[in-house]
Amino acid sequence: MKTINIVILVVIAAAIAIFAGAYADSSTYADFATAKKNIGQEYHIVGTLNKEKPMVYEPMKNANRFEFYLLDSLGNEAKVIYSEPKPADFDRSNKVVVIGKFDTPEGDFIAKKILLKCPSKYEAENPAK
Amino acid sequence: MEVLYKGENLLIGNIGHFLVALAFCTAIFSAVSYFFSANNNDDKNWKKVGRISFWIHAAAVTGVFITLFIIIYGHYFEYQYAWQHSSRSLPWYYMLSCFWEGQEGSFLLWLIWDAVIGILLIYTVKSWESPVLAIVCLTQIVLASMLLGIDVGDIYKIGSSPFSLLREKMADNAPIFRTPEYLNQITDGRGLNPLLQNYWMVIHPPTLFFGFASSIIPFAFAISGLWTGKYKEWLKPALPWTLVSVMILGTGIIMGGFWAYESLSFGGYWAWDPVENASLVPWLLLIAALHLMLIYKSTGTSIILTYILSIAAFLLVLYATFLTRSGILGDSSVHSFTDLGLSGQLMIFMFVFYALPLFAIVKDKFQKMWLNLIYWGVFLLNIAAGIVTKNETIFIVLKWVDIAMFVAITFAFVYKLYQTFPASRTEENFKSRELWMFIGSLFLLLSAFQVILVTSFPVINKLFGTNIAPPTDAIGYYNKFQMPIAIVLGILTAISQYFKYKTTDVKKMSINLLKTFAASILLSVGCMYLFQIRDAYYLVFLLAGVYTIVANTAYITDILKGKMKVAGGSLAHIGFGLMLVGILVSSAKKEVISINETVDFGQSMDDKATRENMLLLKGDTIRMSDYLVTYTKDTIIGPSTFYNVYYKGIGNTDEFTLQPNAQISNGQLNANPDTRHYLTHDVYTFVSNVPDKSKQNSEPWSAPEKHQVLIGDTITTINGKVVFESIDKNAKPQELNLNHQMWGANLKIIDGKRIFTAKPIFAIADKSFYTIEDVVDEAGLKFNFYIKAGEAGVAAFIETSARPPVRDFIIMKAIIFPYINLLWGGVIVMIIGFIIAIIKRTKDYKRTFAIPDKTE
Repeated sequence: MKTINIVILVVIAAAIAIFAGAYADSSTYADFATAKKNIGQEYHIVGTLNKEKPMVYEPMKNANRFEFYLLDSLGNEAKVIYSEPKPADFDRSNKVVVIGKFDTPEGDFIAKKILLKCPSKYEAENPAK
Repeated sequence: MEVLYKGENLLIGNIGHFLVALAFCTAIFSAVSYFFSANNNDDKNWKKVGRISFWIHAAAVTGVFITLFIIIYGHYFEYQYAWQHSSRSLPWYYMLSCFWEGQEGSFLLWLIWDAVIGILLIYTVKSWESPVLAIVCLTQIVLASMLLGIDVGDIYKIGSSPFSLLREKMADNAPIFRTPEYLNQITDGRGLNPLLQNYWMVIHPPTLFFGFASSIIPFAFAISGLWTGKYKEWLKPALPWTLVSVMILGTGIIMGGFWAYESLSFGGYWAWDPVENASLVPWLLLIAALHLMLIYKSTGTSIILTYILSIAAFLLVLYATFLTRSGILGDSSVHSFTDLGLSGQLMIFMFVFYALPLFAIVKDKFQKMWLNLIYWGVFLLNIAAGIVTKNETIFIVLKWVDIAMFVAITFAFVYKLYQTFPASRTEENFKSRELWMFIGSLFLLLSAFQVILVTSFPVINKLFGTNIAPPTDAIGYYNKFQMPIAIVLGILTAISQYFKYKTTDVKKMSINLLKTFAASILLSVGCMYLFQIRDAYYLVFLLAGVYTIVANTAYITDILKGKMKVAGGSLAHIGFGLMLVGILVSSAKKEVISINETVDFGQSMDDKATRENMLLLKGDTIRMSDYLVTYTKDTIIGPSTFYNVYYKGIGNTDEFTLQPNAQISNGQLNANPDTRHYLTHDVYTFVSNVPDKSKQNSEPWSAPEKHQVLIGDTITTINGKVVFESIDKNAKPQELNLNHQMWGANLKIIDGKRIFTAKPIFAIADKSFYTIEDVVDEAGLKFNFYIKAGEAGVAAFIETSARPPVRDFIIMKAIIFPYINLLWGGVIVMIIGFIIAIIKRTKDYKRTFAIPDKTE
């Protein structure tokens, strides 16, 4: 067998390993119920903010704690705790992706990262304002 | 009812529309002419027509750019692009940034660079002009079509014109356009995103887009090689261009990183965001292609992979464009993308260019016929289905047909390549440079593969109905795969040059390699102590980087005898080594120093990573690592508030003030960091949250409480203790010109470590009395002072009301990036290396024309 073929085989094997590894390590989009069933497992949860419930951010007490209630795509609600300051455009966002997990079945959802989707520019207020 | 609008300047928009159409048509004309020229043995007449059309095309594209600039510069807000992306207060250089805030402008930028590249190619590539320009024109046709904005019936719109009127784009939902004088009401545009109002944002996008645009060159040459049957001659003219492309794309990417570091507040220069990844992957492929071209040039081997990579780099640029412009990344990126309805067109773009290599390589007439039949059949089927039906099942079937076709095209092309270039029978030699370079290129491919695979998750989800989300910890995830690859690449970069092409004197080489390796180990041990790295894995990484630097430096001094003219490659590799070390140290030893130690930690608060933000009250001093940090004041300049954060070193004389700033509008906060640069480290600071001052004073005062007091008494309130220190019997404020007697109560407020004073006043006027209250906002207290004569003599009363104190504060994050200058320095060294290499390769190429070119 030629050297080059061995090299190519090794590289293909590495590529397959990467493929498998990438898949194994990836997260999935889920809802709160799934996340609650798999304690400690991290998920992406796409949801909307429950604006009727309080959003708590009290920097004087703790600058690194922000709490809010999120409704997932199935309409289930969970309290989310985020250990960073409240993102500034949070109030305006209509869609929120939280990335994190439940530590206990009764506990709150611990978000590690939050992605905000703000209303697209094209839907913004009309120029007359 | 038709409304006649007043005050609109329609002429300039019509000129713009016309120029776009002209650019589109001349691109078609030029492509066709060059095509016939290439197919008819470089026919002189066709070529001439092609060349003239291309000049007109380039002029038209420039005209489009100027027209759009005039619209923005002249504040013609009747045009949607100007209204949406600019405002009156914008300085002219940021008006350039308006171009790349919108998608149309980005395509326009690409179009311009391709036109410039086309003109340069016309006058430098000699006999390759016709086929290469034909392919360049093909991209121009597609790019120009993105700007057309022509309605095809009611169903589809081709392109999105930057010259659309505001009222056309907004027609459905804005009553304002019912008045003919609507323009009077639009006094200003919506302005440019403040994040783009940064000098890096003026130069970063054009650089990056030149890199993207120039990836057409290796692609066009490779296709031309297959098309004309001059399979190998294209490498020489393509080589210097590929170097240019790699250099500029790399510069553009790192400028983006520097911009992010200097003006975005995610705390770093690279976040593995899909947008960054999309520009990184073509770059990795171009580097791999470049190395393979060098191998081919010197040994005549690995031609097949050279073809594949030269072609794939451009296809990945297209794919990256599709990813970032189609809105498909929606949930996975922090960048918000809007789909302008161009995704269909982008898909056609990819569809056409993906098949181009196969069309070029198939020579047999019979095969060609079948290829045409099947390919265009599927193509038309897709278009027809898109127009006629909304049936889901048909789309699903069609999707699988398309996927099958993509796979078939790929296999057919690779098969034809093997047929055209039979594999050589000779055994590759472990002692040859080409083998090691080849392996290095494969590792670059692996790196690119991993990045694009993960970035493509949303596409995979859409195609196969899966539900894969990107990794939750992007940086850790990518590092896991990319670090070992980077280590291998570092080592290969160190050793490969010591091998000679074909075969090497192993003894001599081993001595050199061992010498440099020994030196690297010594140096790494030194670095280990300097950088304080203990982790074994990181040390291996460090060694790989140091080895790259040492081995390539030694190569320049010992083997090349210091001749810098030929040292471009080695120098670029030294830059790469410096970058590896810089990336390692600045990220592995990056330290968040604003760790909050003062809060009451709940259970979930144990982790250091969950308290990285520090609350700094104005005037308070808090220790962060080796600094005492004070928030001293805030200043409002234009739309931004600058927060002065004063740092004083503990145990040294180091002191400085950083001014991170933030723009607060509509509840949105755009924070820009400020960084103190030292040779050995950076202190990076930004505000992650600030109080909204407009909302703070709205809290009501509590009901007043009256306390009878004697001098020296202490009153306890919910906001701290108040000491009644003395009475000032002459407390009349100077500005009050009244003949009233005023007594003031000297009060001291103690709130933890903070001390305030207050002086409420009791005034006697003739036969009545009144009080002048004193409010201390920062303590959240309001005081009134009364004196009453009663049976037991004169008594003093203090009346207090409380509300939440208004405390001016910032919440900030501070990070130390050690030795980040190694990264920036490495980039500069790498760029210099590229420039030297470009000069050398261009000379090499020109030398071949010292002997008159027979084909010209």
